[in-house]
Amino acid sequence: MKNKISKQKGILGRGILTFLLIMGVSGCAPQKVIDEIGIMHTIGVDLVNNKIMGSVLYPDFTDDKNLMLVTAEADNLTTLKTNLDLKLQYPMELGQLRVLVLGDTLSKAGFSRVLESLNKDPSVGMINVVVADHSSRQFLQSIIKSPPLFLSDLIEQATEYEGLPDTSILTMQYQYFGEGIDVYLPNVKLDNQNKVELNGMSIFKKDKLKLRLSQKETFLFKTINEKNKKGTYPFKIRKNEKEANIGIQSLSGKHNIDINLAENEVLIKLNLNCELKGLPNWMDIRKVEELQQIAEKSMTNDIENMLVKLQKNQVDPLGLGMIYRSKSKIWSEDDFYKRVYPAFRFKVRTKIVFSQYGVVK
Amino acid sequence: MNKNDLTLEELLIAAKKSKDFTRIERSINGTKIYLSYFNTLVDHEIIQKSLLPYLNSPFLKNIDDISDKLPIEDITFTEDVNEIYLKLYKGHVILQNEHSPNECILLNIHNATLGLRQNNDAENEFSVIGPKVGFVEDLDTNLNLLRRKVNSQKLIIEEMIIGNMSKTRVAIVYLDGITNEQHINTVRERLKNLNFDIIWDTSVLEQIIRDHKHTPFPLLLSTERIDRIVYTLVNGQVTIFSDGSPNAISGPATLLDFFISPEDYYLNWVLGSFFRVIRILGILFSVFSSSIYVAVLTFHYEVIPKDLLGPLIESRANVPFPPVLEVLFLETTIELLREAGARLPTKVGQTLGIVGGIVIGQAAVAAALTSNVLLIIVSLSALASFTTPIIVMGNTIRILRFFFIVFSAFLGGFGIIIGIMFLLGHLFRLKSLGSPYIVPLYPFRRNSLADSFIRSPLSTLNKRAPYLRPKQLMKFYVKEMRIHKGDLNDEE
Repeated sequence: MKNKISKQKGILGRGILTFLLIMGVSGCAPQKVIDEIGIMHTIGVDLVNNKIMGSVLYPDFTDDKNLMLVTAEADNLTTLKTNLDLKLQYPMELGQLRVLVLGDTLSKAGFSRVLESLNKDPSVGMINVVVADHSSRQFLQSIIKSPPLFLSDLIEQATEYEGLPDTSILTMQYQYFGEGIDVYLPNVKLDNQNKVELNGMSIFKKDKLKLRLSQKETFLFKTINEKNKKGTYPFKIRKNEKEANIGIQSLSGKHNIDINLAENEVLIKLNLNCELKGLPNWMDIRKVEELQQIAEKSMTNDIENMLVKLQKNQVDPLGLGMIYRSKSKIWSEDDFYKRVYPAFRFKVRTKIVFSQYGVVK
Repeated sequence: MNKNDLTLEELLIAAKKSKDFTRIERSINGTKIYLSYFNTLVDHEIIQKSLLPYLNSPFLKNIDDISDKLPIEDITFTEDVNEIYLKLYKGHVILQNEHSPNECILLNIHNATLGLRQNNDAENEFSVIGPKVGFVEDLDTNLNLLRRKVNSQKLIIEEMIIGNMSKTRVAIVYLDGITNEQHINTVRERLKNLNFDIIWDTSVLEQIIRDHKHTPFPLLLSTERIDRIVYTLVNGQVTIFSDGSPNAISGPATLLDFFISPEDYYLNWVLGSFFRVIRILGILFSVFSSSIYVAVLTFHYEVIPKDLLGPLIESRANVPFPPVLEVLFLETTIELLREAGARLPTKVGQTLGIVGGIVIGQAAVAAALTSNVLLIIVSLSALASFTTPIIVMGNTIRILRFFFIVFSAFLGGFGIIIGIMFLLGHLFRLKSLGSPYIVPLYPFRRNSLADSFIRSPLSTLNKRAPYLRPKQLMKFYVKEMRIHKGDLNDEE
């Protein structure tokens, strides 16, 4: 009996010891109480005199949820954080960062300086990266009156429904560090009323901006690159000396890319389910096959032109290099861009099915 | 039983010290007889109507006629002082004859229902559907209620007397040929070895005979509902009743037993399963919600969804304390409310609920002592902790919450995981009457899952839980009942 009691005391003692040890260890756990840190949602990075200039938009929840803009300069991202903190009430934390805006100076000089230090921070999650067509500071200044998550929600919405490519810092890392594929990111610009507008995408060679695609080309790129094929496609139709521009809304579809090594031919098959919305008066809705053919022809043409444009600029956002690499025994990235890629011929087969006609008179 | 050396004389002298001890002298045919009893224990109506008139009547020729002629059921002849001692204090009348004072006749005139409540609604474990009768403080009433439901010769009731002061009648009830003897023997041995002064309630018994002393978890199922006890008996568990306690305890119990309500079986299985799942989710929410709040707001701001960030920071912006103090403050307030509500008379309790719940809550937010979001979380988790059908388990759940809050305050999510490991380690160790406590989960028993998190249709619940090792596995056999479409059309 006595033995038993002492044994139980031993267990109790061990329990207390464990608890004390936990208390000891806990001295080291860094506390980040949510209302005592600066939450940044959007950060813009520019390059000024070979120094990184970071502009941070952060919401001030205590005071009318206003967004505040703070800017600091530094040689690298780590010192940038310190220089920002020196201007702020609470230390800035990266954990709730949603959008990274690359200024034109930085995207032309190469984003690798920024990407490589963001890579090493475990608190960085899914960030949307966009490319501004001028200084990112100017761009952030123009959205300072919007709600805190405006830019993030805008990108999310446009990616889901309006044909913007689905990118994030993760796809960016994959494309940047992977061979046989190039980085592409959505563009943002300010329209003539100084409002934000998403417009097409930028394609990078390594980490430097090489080519910008228009919104129409971006949608076509998305249809042959992603599962989500939602978006609108406008095309011209001409009949009996009458002309009209028709927009069709793509709902869903499938694509397939195949490379025929023997003939250096890239075969792209694309099936789209579309919704037809609105026809000019002189078009007969019963002759929909005719309209389908025109749409297919126009789309095939546009996709081929877009691919040739990419080929001429020596960029490969579609990842044709990766497909080639999976088929060919020899692989060298330089060789692919110098010799193989320029020789590719593109053959696109588009099939459009109008599954919905909208409201018919 | 340690009064072995006492003689009858000494016993009566000792009893005489109390004012309520009565000794009357009468005579039958010239022979003097003595009646000794405690007038606080006996039923005076019986004494006046059935005992005293008969003693004077001419029918009674001889003292030996008493057992035949007196209209009293329980009459014993004995010389055993121990038995006399025991029964005197249980409301028996001692009848002595002047010639042989040691040969006593004991007449049971105990007033069993004096001072007991008549209302036996199951108030603490209420269910909307199903019987609402519960156990009361009287053992015989309880066993009567039980016998009414289980009409079988298999129902065995064993009785023993426990408590050196209270001499409480304790009944062990089981189904012969179904319940494993190992469980019965364990209960019997533990009750026999028990040494205690007064058995206040079965909950005291539960604490004394349980397998582990240092645990907040109840190890035997304690309930006031008849249907619940019958269900445990039918499944092959052993039940213990004690006189003076409206709760019966059943074992071996498992953790999941405490989250099962009899109502689950009265509703159809889809609804029953749904409510059971809701209850278990509610309990998980109750245990973890406030600690997750502390962990996220103190350490892991990254995981907050972006749309929730604004409201969270806004509601916390004016609170001067770290999240952990905020949570402890509010949790303690809720505990105080609960404790005060339990101690106060019903009518005052309702007022207190309104004052405490609404006024204090709103005022605390207005005074920037807590945030709105936390107020919702804490009150929801308090609400969820009341969904446990067994009240004792609800208390355990509330204790666990504090344990997790402390862990999360030190180490955040990592601390919660450490806490879960401690908790699981503890649960794995627990045993109820020698059987594992969390059994359908570990050791894993797939066949017993049919009546654990979900409640399967009654026709599939025709087997007893194998982990209770019943001696007869099948409860009943299901007849194939199918209505063919053809059968219905035959009459046309």
